[in-house]
Amino acid sequence: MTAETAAICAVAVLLIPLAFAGLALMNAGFVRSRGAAHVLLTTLAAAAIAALAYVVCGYSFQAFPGRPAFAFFLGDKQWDWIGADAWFLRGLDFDGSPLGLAACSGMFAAAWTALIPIGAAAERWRWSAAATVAAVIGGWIYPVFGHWVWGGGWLAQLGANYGAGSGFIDGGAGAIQVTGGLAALSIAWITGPRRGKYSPEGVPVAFPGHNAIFVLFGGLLALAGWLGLNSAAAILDYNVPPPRLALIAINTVLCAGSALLSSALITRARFSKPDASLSANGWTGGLVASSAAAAFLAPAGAIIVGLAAGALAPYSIEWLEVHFGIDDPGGAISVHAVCGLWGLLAAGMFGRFPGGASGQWIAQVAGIATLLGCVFPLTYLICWALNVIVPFRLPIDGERQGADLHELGANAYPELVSHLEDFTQR
Amino acid sequence: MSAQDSGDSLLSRHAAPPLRRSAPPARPDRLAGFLLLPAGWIIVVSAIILLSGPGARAAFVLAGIAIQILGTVLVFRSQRRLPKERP
Repeated sequence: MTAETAAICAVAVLLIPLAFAGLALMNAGFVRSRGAAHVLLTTLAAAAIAALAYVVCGYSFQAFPGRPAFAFFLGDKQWDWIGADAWFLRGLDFDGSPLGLAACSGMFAAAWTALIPIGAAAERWRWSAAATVAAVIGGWIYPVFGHWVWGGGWLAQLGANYGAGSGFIDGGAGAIQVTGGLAALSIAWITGPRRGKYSPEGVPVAFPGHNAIFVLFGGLLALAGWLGLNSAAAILDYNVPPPRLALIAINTVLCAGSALLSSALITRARFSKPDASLSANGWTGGLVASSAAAAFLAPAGAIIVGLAAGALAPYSIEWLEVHFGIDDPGGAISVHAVCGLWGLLAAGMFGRFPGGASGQWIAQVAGIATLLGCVFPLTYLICWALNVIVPFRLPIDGERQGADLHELGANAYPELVSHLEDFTQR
Repeated sequence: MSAQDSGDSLLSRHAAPPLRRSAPPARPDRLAGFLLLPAGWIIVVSAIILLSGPGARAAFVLAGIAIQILGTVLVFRSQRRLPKERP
């Protein structure tokens, strides 16, 4: 990697935290005012603890191609299954080499993965539970899958070893977004819905978010973070030359823009006016889908990927809430897991990869199958066990008071002393 | 308004009944669903390792994904609360 490429990559990596700010604002806007400060503090804590866990041991498990790893042989093929680098980033030289940049990018990616579930469990889970889950995600769940995809692991080697295209291609849609989205689904199931979310007949009650400005501005802020993620992943993990960053930026914006258009048109057709929250979710869903292969899509392909992601987001949010009783205030499951899975599949369908190797879709399906068949059950099991040790759910009084007052001792908006919905017969 | 009709009293009168804190009780279809998910994954990975013909490999990969979809449906159905169970 030349010095110029390293400098460009460093700038891209440093843009990534803007996505944290964007998602945090969106989640704060999606919840009722009584839980806004709790969501933001939980986001800060989750990002901090996941980053800490990643530096302590996560990087060791993720590693980087060419670094020590535990492997076994199946036939004559080597299967790297987990990194074996030193803890606390020992032995890394931060001299502009890909290793140092990958460690920094991995730390941000671990933090990002850990903050995704916050949108799904907002208003009803404890701060301590979020911190515990973040430590496990940053120290174990993300790094292990990250090694398989970006650390020279077996999914990345499917192409070289078994002729499945170029191996599993993932610019972050799988390792970050789907992993976080599946953790969000597990936690939403374990915590259950917010009190009063469903009527005795099982009909969901609308709990409108308290600030649409936060939601929409958060979406804009997230775009900058996603541009950084997609660019950094392309340079670090797939050796994409810097001049191709223009195409990555175009595809990222096209995906998000067409997804927003798709969501807005669908909600306008159904509710007579575009829904701001669902359209913002569509925009984010487009960004998530773009992460799979922004460097390898033609602009027309990016538009198709975005249009489908924008349709998937609002329909799956409604479907999960109405038909499966999943209370996901921030739409994290639909936006990150559903749209991320679509992006990974679409990469195999529309991506144009170097060498034009055939069978790319098989590698993409193998990655999706791994997320659903290994990462998801493992995450659910870990969260279930953590819930036994550190109960996730706020007590009844805490939910009635609001997470802000109960857990932090003060509301985000202290002038609002009562909540009308508590006095209204549902 | 008497003292008993203060905010706390109103809250307790109109608040929804307590929600159970943990996940719904174990059901066999949830266990079956969670077993089908890794089973499908193993079929997909085994097909890639063991089969070299593109047709056979694709067929088994799709079969593995179909099993995972079935597992996903079972897990979602098992987590769905019946109306009488909802708060």
